[in-house]
Amino acid sequence: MKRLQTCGFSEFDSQVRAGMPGYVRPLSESIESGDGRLSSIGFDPSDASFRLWGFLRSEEARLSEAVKRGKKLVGTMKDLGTVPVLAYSLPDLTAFYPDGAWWLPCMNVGAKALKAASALGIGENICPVRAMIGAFEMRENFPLPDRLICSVGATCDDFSALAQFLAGRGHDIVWWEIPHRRQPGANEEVVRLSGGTYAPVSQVAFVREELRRVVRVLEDLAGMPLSGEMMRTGIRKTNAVRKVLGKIRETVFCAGSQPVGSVELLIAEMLAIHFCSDPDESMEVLAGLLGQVEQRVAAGEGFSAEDAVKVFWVNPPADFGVMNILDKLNCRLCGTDFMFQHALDQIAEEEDPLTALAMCALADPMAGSIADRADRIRREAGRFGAEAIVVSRIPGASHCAFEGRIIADTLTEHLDIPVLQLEIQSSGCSMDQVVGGRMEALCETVRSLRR
Amino acid sequence: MRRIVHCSNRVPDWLIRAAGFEPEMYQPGRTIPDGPVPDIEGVCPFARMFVNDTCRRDDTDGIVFTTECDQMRRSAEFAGSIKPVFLMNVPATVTEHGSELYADEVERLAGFLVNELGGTMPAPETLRSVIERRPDETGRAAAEGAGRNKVMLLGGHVCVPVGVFRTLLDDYALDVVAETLSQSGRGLDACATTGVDSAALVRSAAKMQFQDGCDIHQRPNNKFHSVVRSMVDELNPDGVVLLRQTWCDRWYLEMLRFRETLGISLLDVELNGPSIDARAVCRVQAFAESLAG
Repeated sequence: MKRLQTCGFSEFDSQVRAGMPGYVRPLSESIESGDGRLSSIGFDPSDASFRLWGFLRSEEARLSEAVKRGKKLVGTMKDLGTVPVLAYSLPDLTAFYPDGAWWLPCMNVGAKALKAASALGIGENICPVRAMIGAFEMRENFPLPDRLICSVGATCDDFSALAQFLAGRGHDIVWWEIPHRRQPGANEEVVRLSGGTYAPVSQVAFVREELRRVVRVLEDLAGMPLSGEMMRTGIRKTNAVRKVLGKIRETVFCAGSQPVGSVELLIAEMLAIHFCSDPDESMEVLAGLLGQVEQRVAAGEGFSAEDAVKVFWVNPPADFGVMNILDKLNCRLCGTDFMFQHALDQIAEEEDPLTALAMCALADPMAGSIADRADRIRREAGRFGAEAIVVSRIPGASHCAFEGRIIADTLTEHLDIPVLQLEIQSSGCSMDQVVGGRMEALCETVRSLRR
Repeated sequence: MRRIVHCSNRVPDWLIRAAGFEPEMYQPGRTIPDGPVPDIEGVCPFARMFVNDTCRRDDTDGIVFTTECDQMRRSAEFAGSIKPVFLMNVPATVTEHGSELYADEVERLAGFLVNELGGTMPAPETLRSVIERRPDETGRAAAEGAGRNKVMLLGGHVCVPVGVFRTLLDDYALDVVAETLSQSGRGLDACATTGVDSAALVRSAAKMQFQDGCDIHQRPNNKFHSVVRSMVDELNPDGVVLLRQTWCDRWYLEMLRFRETLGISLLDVELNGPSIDARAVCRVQAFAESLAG
């Protein structure tokens, strides 16, 4: 088995090739323009990875290009993976997630967005998604959308409050509701959702009606009706992306050595929700990554040694660099739940499209109980043979304080593997000292348990 | 009398009463007892107090939570293993569709009270008499003394009894002319409810309660801001004191908005537990002095 090493940005930049899409620019350009955090990250040295990073860093340019081509922009907020399917089913709409500003601090541009939010009084007591407010305020990082659509109901307090704050500053928002996914009553008709959860049929019907309201808004914006067939096409396109992502995850989690950098896997999974700003190019990027992963598995190459500690990672870390620690400590990912597991599941193509999307929205782990989420983590951690769970806490997020304990209790009871909770600051200051030290202790624990 | 405890004015007290229970809008005690919700950084101290306190009480037959606040929604999971718990979906969007969902949830609550806790659903006449108008509990008071300033109390749930805070304000010559805290409730007009059977009455009353509701959790929550604005215009207080609990993102961000929109002095009082700490006392004192000056 050949063990691969991550590389610094200079070496990474040397891979720029002729023939790569125009948006794939050297990282040094981003670093010079303020994304200083990239200079401290270790990268997976491959063309596929380079293209992935290029795609991640170029959303603003691609959205601006879409506007130039006459497309209307839909900013979809909070619902992870539902409204964009409807939006890009209409030819003249392009959807994106302003919530994606969450990731800006990971590259340092966010420091500017965070400062702009802080200037309005929104500081570190609020989840890093507050960078979205800064981005709107500065009119940077994405063009202002023509329509903002935000899901509410069973959502985290911080996002709901931030979205309302945004509305209070004059941004018109269309709100739609995803209720808390409850346990069906004894005599209620039940539907099975993706991920092994259940919901009462009445809740699916409710969300379906809410989506009908959203469809009307999108039709008004696009100036044309959205037919069932158009929605089906959008769903098939989404499923194709999810299928490739599913293959990447399955291959990575089952490989002898982790065949992709941990940061790059995180970014690839992010495309499950962020691909909507350019579905066709996303597909190309992910297909390239899958090819790379399969090729490395066949060649016996990867970033982890055979005795690597198998980690299941819960929640997106507010700092890309923390994923590098996994590679450095000879850990490997054997399962992830970055809060949008439902956006990796296939949408039911045989269902009425709006019903299928309502089921998708209700399957959101954040819409249901923590126990449901813990149960899925338990099943997947068991399936991929994870030896430890890391619950990465997002500073200031309303759900994080609770879920760590319930997830830890559930997994300890059923799997008997160690669970570590980490708070990852978006400032990155605690990285090596605190987070690295705690991760190191987790690895030692796992290795001693093996004996 | 058997007791059902909750902490939201979106929970229909009339239904609980009609089913043969005493509804109780939870009022904070003096301490946060140990209990199912652990003391973890980020957990709302009020949610922790509410769950841990109600779970250990012998006089509580059940707890009703709502989904208005994510911290409360998550807290319900901790209480479920100790007491019968009902988690009620309260839509954030005020639409006809949302009002139907709310009515469904009230029906489901009726089922919980009757089938799981052994309550009864009375005949329509009795039910109608229980759905009575209660006084508006936004608590407008005319108290005003010479040399004293008028303030309006605004805010969410806190672990400190409101009476204790009012005493503090009184100590610094501040008269509370209005109070719109989360503990406030609104009544219903029995005459306006329609329906010949109990089930129809319950739906009708539920929809009225939902449409009538007004709080910061609604999206958009302009109605709540308008109500506060009109109270300020009408009562002309010298300032607003906004109470909120640490880790309450919702009230924190509303505080920022109110500070921009109300156009009068606003004191933000953040409480971190069941006591008013020295910092909060100093801030109130300085606020009172500023208004007096």
